[in-house]
Amino acid sequence: MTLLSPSATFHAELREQLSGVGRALSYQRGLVWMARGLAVGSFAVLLMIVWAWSKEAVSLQTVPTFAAVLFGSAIAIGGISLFLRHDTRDLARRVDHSARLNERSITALELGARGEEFPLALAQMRDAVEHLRRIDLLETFPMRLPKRELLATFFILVVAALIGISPNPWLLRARASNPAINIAREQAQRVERLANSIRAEGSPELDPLRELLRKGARTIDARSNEPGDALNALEDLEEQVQQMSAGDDQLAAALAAIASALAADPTTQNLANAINTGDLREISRAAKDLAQQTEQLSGQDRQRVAKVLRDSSNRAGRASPSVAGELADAAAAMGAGEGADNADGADGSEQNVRQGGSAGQQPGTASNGRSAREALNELSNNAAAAAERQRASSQLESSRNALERSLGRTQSRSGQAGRSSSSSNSRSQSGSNGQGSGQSAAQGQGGEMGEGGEQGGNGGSPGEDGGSGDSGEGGGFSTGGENQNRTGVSGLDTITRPEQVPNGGLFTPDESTQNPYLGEAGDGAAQAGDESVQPSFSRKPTQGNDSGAIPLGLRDLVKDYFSSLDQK
Amino acid sequence: MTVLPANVPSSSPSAHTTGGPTPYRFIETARAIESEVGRVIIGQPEVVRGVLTCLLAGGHALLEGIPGLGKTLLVRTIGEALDLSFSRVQFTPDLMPADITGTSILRDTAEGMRTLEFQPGPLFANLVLADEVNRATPKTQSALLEAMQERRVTAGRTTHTLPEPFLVLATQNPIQMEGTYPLPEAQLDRFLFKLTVPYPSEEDLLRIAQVTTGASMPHPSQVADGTALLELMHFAREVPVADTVLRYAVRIVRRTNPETPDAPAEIKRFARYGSSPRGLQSLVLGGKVRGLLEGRYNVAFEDIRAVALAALRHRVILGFEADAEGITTDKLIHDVVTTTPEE
Repeated sequence: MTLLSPSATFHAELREQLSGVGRALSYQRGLVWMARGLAVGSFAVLLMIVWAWSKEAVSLQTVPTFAAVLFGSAIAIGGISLFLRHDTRDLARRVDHSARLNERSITALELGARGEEFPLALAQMRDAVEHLRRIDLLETFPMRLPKRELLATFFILVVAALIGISPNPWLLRARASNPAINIAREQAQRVERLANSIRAEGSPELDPLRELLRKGARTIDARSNEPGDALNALEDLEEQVQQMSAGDDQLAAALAAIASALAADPTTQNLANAINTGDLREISRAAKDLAQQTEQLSGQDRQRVAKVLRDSSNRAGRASPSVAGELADAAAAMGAGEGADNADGADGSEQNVRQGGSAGQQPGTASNGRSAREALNELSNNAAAAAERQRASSQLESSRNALERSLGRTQSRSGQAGRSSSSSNSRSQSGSNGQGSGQSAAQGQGGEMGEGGEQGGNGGSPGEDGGSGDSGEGGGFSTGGENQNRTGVSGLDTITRPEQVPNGGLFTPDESTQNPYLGEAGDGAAQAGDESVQPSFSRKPTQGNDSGAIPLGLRDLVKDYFSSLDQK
Repeated sequence: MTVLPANVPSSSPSAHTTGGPTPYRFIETARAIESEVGRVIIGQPEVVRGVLTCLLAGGHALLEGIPGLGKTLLVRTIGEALDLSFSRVQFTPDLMPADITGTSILRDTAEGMRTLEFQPGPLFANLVLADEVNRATPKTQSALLEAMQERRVTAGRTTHTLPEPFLVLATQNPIQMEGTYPLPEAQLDRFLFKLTVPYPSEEDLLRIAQVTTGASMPHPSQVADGTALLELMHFAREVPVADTVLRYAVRIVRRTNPETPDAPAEIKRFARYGSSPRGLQSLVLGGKVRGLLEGRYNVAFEDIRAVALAALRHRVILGFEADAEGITTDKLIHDVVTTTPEE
């Protein structure tokens, strides 16, 4: 055991008291440095916002990032300051000053360090220790609010917010001189709206597509100031969507192949009709309806439908094994359900019900445990997903065309047009009694504008033979949406056959004139709300398309415009 | 009336008994002296504190003030409170050194012989009041100041040691300067403090009138003797001073010197000479005593600031420009003290 001298004892106690003061000061310093970190973070946020503002990339999505930078820097700097140690002499001076100890601490610290033992030195050290014990740290070192730092943070953030919400005059000027920037932004917004509309469908299979579209929309928007880059991003997005739609051709071909088989039974007639329309949404709905009907069918009807579905499964086998599998499951499940009904009718025992199905499967389910309803719902979901992918692909193509037109590249995409036309082409062929599946498999290798459309109109060989898909004369047009089902020619495609807008023979094509539709407005007050007239107007693009009153190159724009009104 | 400090340390006297005076005893004694003197000297607490500080620091004080402010009474009261021998010398132009130091006189012895015997002058007292010291000739002033410094007197071939404690309180009148011999700077430097006695306030004058014109005058009680005072003087020198406080005192003294690079602009412009190292000693010693009187066992920055004027005002010599512009040493020192950083 070591006996400490009085001086050393006082010195140790003094240092202990001072270390307590040091901890209090560390917390206080941490608070101040945290506020300084906030100021630094706000400055960093300001720089980030200025950078984003110059690119016009400030959006609500970036707010969490800014908040993370702001608070992250505050916590980091405040945390680091907690680990910085105080010098004991400095602590003594500070506590002398703040607690008005009249240099008691610093004197005692020096005396202790020198090991002074004379009476007055000991008395002085004792006096210092007693005074330090009586100090109320909160009173001596009150936690002051770092107003200066917080005010600086506030003002910097206000400036950052003002910059963030204000338009960039240079970009506005650039946009005025380059309309393609605006169009690129509009297309980004369209893609975003498209992604949001897919969310409404609520199918989990569409989640990847939705995310892909959202990501693509953000990329396009971020690059909108460089329309060429935005176009590249759009093309990449389109290509990715196309890759996701790789199996849709097989689905369409399989559906086309089974239409005639389904038409043989009144229960499946609706599904056959839907397939004949070529509208995948209709097909999805009809499949869902059929799935609901399966549980209400009588035994004989079930057997009959099972037979039709089995037949359809056989037909779809070549085009799409998955469709064939779903149909086969549905057929098996319906057959099994009928068997269960029969067994139940025979003796009503539960044991028989369980064994009534074919080959050990559960009653009303296929060998893999799926019911007919589940199998048909799966088919319905696949069709719905394909429909959404088709719609997305169509709209992306439309957006790309619009952007290309704004960049003056209207003739540059013919080679790729065939790639995207395959699905619409298949629908055209399925429209002629499902005999176009062979053509639908063609992958647009033709590239000669116009021929594909004619092929679509003529249809290919009967569906049984169409699976080879080797004709190689896919569409020469890009698709434009559902209207392609009827015409076989995309209204969203580049204008390959320029048409003169009917003008009553008032002007020659090379003559410009004042826009006749921009005359002075009358003063008639509105007599009806827009919601009452909207439905009739919304039909106009369809009617215009059908009648050919809308020029080919403008059809898609008109349709999109009314679609956007519908969404509002 | 002086106000006694209230923050006496709570340490018990027995805690530090080592044979000599304890901090507690020192403070009690010093406060008792201050209190007793304050009963008689009305309205001059700063001067009383200054004189007491100077005595406990073992130095001599120069009191400057107009006649009738109680300078002589102050010195006599302190002498009575401390049971010290007291003498007063009124300095005049015809005062000779031997008049204050003493002289050898021829005396008949019992054996019928004649011998020279030293007759001590008024300097042979514990407490000497040199009244209007600037009226004596430089020769006499030098004799006094030499005795102050050496604490002994040489007469003929014999050196006589002055009694301990030996404290000189000199006074000088700032008015009626005709026919006076201002003390040279080197001799002023011998005084630890130079204290200015201010004119009393109206309330103090009222109390002076009430107290001093009655049937009886208050008399101080004896609270210590010369031996105790000597112990206190030695004890005060042991008060520890932190290095930072010492450096602060050094900075102040250095900054009174116009040649110092970091001296204030006023010092460079108006001061001719700054304080000597004796000024630093005065600062620190005065600070030590003041710290004890304030109930502490250490010297604070505040103590240095409190004694700076008294310790330095007679050591800073002003130039002609200061005289022309009415700049006083007190103002310059105040500027130095307020602009000198503690750290």
